[in-house]
Amino acid sequence: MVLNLKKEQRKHLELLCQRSSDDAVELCKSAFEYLNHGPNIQRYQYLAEKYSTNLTVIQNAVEALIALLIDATKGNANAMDMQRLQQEEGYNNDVMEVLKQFVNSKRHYIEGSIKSANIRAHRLVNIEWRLEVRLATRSLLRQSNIRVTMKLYLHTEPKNENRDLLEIAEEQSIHPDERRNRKDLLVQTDLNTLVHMIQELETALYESKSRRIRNVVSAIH
Amino acid sequence: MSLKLSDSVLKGLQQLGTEISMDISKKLITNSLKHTLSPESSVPSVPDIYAANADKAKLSEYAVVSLLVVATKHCYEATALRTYLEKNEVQPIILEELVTTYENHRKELTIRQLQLGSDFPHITDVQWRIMADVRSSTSDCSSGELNFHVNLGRYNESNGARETIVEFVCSTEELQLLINKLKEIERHCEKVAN
Repeated sequence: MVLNLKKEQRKHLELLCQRSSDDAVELCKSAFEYLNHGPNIQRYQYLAEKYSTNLTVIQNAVEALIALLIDATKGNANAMDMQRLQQEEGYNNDVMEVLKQFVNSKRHYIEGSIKSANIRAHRLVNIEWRLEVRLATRSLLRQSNIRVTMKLYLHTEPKNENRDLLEIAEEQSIHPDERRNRKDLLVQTDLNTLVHMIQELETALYESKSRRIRNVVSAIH
Repeated sequence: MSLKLSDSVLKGLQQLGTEISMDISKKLITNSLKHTLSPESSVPSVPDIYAANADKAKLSEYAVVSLLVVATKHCYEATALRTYLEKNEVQPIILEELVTTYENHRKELTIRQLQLGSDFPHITDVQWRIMADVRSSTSDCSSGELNFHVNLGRYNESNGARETIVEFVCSTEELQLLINKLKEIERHCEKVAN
């Protein structure tokens, strides 16, 4: 079974069985808002009053929707899997349609976070460079040594939709947690090495497009 | 700028071929050149040099290294070096030996001294590997994307060992962007050269 929701989470989603598709849309929106901005208690309070239930029920339902989204993405759930969920939980067709749309539209958003980003290696985000000539040093007073100085900007955050949001947030201020995930580094190289680097990286890129690598990737995907 | 050496360095040069025998003096000059060009550990020791009078030999060794390094630093011409040594009464055969050594190894001495001093880490090597994720602790299936791990490093000049300067990951698009950026730098360099 691809969808591996816990019993508790399924129970929390029971709220959906009693509600209309419009209400389901509202809850899905709240779940997405949770991903971007964290929980919004005021909104849950409003929904709780509207559905004549209590705050915890709404909060649990929103969290269970996120669990469903993550689980569906993690397991690469298809239409069949979603249908099985409908049969097991008894959602009506309209609500199910909303859930399918919710899962599909946000799948890409979740993918970047959970698939490639679990082990956080540094990613190259930007390079700034300057062509320089070293004219003198303490040990050699007359010289003209050409080099390229580069500043490499590295982040450990995953690059995906979520990152774009972070980039927007950056304009205001960088959260200390985010700053910890970033580093920049000053390095230099000479022109011969620069040419060598280009050749080597082009070889890598060329190799990645080879039939063998494409076959392996499509076989494991 | 004229060459200026301290009294102890001059003393060390003057005692070559006079207080220290000609044979040992020549060995000492050859050995001092090796010390100037390579890291200490890679030069084999020559015990003969220190057998008769270790203190004098050490002073002369220091003097020859100083002469070569300071002359290289100021880009001194061989003829000017010769005049300076003549003025300071260095033994003629030794003088000839010192000037020839300097002249014949000027390029190596300059390259050696180009490498000294403070700098940002200098990349001379790039390594890469292509990785595709199959499964992970957070996902049951592959993302179907390739990752390029790029490792930029350098070779340690004294022991030849490879040292990593930076390692990062790129997607296919990011690698393409990186290559484009590097090519842009190369183009600018060519433009400046012309």
